[in-house]
Amino acid sequence: MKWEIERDALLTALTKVAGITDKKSTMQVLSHVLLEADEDQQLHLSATDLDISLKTQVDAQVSIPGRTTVSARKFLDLVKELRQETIQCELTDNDRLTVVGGRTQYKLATIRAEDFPHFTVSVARQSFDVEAGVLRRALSRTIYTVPMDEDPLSIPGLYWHPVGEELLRMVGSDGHRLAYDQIPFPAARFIGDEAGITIPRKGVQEILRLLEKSHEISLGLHENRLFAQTPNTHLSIQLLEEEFPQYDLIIPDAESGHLEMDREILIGALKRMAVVTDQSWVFVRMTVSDRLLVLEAGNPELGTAQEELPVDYLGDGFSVAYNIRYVIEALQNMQSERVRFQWLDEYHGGMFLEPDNPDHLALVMPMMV
Amino acid sequence: MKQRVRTILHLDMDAFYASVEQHDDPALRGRPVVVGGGKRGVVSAASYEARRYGIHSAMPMFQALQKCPHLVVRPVRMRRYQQVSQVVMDILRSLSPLVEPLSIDEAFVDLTGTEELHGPPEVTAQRIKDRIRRATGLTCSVGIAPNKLLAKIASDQNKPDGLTMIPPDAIRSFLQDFPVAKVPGIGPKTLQKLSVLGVRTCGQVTAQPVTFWTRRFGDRAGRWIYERASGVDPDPVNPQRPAKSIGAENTFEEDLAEDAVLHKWLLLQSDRVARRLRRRGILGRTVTLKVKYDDFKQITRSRTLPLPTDSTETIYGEVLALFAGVPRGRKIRLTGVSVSGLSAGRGQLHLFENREENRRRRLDTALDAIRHRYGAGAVRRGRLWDLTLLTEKDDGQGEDR
Repeated sequence: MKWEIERDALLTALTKVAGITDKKSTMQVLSHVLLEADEDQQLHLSATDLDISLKTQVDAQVSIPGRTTVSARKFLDLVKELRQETIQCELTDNDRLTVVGGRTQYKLATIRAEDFPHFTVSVARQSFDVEAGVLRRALSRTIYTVPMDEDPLSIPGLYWHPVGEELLRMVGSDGHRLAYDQIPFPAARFIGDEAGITIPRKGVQEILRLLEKSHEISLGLHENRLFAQTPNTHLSIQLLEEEFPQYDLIIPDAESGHLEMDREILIGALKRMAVVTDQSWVFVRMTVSDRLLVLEAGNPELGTAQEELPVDYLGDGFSVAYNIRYVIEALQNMQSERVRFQWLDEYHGGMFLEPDNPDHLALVMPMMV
Repeated sequence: MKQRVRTILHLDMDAFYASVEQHDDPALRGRPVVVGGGKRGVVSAASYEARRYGIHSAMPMFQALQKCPHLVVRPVRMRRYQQVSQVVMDILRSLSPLVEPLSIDEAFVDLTGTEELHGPPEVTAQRIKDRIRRATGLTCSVGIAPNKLLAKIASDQNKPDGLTMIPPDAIRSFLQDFPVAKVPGIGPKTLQKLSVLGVRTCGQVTAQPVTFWTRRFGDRAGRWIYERASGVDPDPVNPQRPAKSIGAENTFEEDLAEDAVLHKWLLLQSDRVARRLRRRGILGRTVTLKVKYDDFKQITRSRTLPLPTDSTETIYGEVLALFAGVPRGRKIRLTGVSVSGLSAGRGQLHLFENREENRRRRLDTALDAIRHRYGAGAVRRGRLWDLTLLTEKDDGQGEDR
């Protein structure tokens, strides 16, 4: 195997795959990138952690086709350091990949391509196109609720749930709060017989990375795998098996009051309250009365904070406490100028909504204080 | 940075429970009195008259009665002791804001820098003793030293009604022949290892360099033993010392074998613990079950929950699961439930699985409100109706540690 490639193009491709490789695995080959140079003057780069696989391709001058694997991290690091416009690579007899940039020469250890796990990048019978910006917006506005850690009471993935024929709802929840965002998409045909599918957190992040560089993406589903495809990159994600909870049951369908106010003003006030909170005293109390919203937070050791905000509200008083970080994050992941805060009682989640956009919802469970 | 010399006072009420009983009932003065739960319970406190018979706290009651047949046994009146304790703590707090209650009858006070205001520490200490005696009729023993460790050792020197000072320049000579066995925090296992080395006094410990001890006991433990024996204790007086666990336990009138009855006791104890958690607005994550058999062998089993709780049902559920795994060859004389891993993390309500916990929380809140208004006996869980009398007396054991 022998090829020559533009350094910048190789760097972009390696950056894409390096995020996928599994550094913690005991299988060393999973930290490697599979390199395949073919007669069509293409270099294919593949990486997998067995749950998520990515294959991308880039133009190269291939003089001898062939395949091998090298450490993705080290290959990326050295390409970053090389400053030459082109880089030459050759697999030598002693199973080393020689990488030459100007007068610098690396000889990288390889693992045989045959040892690299076999994975398919797309076998979906039907694929559906979606505008990158639309999908990116929905994913980035909900991923903040997907828990980072394994925890027995929540699902570490984003649930894609068809709403009617033409709407796809992305739902995330860490068990204490929930957010959804929905996009126009032939959801019913896409999902098929399932009630919905759950994409693991890392998979959502990889889709988001894929969306950074492209305008359109097509999605397909086959046997518990989600395939996402842009013109030169294929991503395959193993879906989570755990059943996502019946989240719609816990979204209150009644309200006992609501108010609307400027979103940035509320975020600013909450940030001022957050100064006196800490890990054991995380809550902000929100007390609503006629024309007034009072925020209070505090910590017996540090001190307390209070702020009064004028609001357009007339009705029964209401007081509730929330984890202040949850409320701030809910508000920061909205885009509207104003926010609607809607409540039922101190046992049900408080809703934070975009007044003119029924496609986004954030729900935060109260704290008993 | 050179640390300024601190003045720490340790106060320990003399035979507290028993002294309160003797104060409240003058007929008991001068007689051997113990406070404890029933004929089969243990001695919670013994008056100095009773101690002369070799009776001490934690001794089984039958044994105490063997040693002294005309012993006066009084039930534990926790509420009354708490009342008296409050008076004592208020007196301490009037002298310094830095008061750390260790238990109902013990506290540390940081008097550093109060000389200008109150005069020399021994004068302040005498004044405290006089005020406590006037307000409660009780005596106490006081130790004054540059840190908590030495202050506690000092207060133990001249009991009852003692006042002992260990000034900084006297520490060395004081500890030279002081037995390591009497140093708070040095436990039986360490003592055994020390005695193998022929070490009995603090002076013998400090005669060796610290490396001698770290080599034998490990870095942390070795250093710690050396520091303790040198009378070093940097721990500050912490007025908001949070409780580490909350517990409730009972020694039964008769040893029990039947699940049905034991389960009721466990529910009762779970409820008592959960109520205390709720009253203080805190939550706990680790539930511990303690079982003592009729041969006095004791075991504990713990389980940590995914989320902290203050719910009676949740705690009881865990206790039952733990109890199911406990060996059951012998009869049981005591059970106890405690909750640790306490946090002020407050109750973050959960969206899904904890809907059940939220429901329980509402039930708990309602029961608490009724009890608060109409008294502890006003409502009880259906399963406990026949344990009515038992819920009334809180045996006071398993207080917050």
